[in-house]
Amino acid sequence: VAVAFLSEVEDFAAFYERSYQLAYRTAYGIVGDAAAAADIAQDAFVAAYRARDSFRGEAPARAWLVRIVVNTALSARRRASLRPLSFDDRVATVAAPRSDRLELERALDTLSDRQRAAVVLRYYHGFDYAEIAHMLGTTSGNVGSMLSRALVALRAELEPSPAAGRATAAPARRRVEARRG
Amino acid sequence: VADQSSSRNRPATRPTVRGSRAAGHIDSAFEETLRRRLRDTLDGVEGPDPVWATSPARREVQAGHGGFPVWRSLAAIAAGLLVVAAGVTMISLPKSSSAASAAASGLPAASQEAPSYAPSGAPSGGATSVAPPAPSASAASASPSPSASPTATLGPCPSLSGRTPDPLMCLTCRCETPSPTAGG
Repeated sequence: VAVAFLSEVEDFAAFYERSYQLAYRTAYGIVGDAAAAADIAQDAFVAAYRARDSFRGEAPARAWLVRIVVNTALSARRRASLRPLSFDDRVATVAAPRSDRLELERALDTLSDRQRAAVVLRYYHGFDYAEIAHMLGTTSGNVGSMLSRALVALRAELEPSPAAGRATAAPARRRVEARRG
Repeated sequence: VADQSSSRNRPATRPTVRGSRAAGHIDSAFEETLRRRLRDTLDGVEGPDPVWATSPARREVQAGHGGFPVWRSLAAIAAGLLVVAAGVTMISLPKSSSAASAAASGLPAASQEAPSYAPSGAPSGGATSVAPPAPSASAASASPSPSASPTATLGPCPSLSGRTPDPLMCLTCRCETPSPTAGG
């Protein structure tokens, strides 16, 4: 038993070192903060270690880990202890970011947490609607609806037009203000 | 008519499924741009050095918070209870066997008995018996005399006369009446 346990830990160590950046970037895409993303990645790996017995290889380990990271990040955002940093705070902590990166992060800030998670899962990881629905605990139709709204809001921020900007950016900014408050 | 024109001019902040599908073709270029920018952004961020040996997750796992699932903890608790029960049994077994052997041989057991077994008038729960009392033994123990020799006897204790011994407390009854001359 001891030998099996040690080999399991060694395998998990290799899994951690192989997939840490994936978990970190996923968490960063959802919370938008480096320190919070690092904490979430650690919590996610602890949760993955606890649940390693339930992983039977039916889904790829990457999808299994990303699902844990997403749930950990959404739970962390729900907790009052992890209050999202404002955009101005993050500009002060990020070292010399590029302007388009800041622009994208500013646009992502206008989304809700679940919308942001859906965008990261869809456009960064490339999961389909069914996989995203499984990870977020919802239906594929709801995922399509979330992504459609997110695209409208992101487009209003990234490619502002006079009409669309007035229509979509204002409620999105109201959500950001409410989240900060 | 006015409502229809106003709804027609209203921007689609909440597109329907059909609208989103139609907009999907229109926004495919935007989606591709978003995909590229998101990958550029997230691939550009680097987390801390991913070494398991120095990671906080490993420290938490080693601290026991993440190392054992619930069933392992329950198994550990059950094993601990078994060890404690075995220890208690091993400690209590020599006492009862020595008392039984002393009773069987009829030797004085006053010097071997612990002081807690000495009757002091108060009923002792640990000295009750479930053995069916023999008529002679019950008669002998029911009327103790001050000159009776201090021996361990089987049967109901004198302090329990008139009461039923608790059968769950012990299997043998070791009652003794201290003799005034027992100490010297």
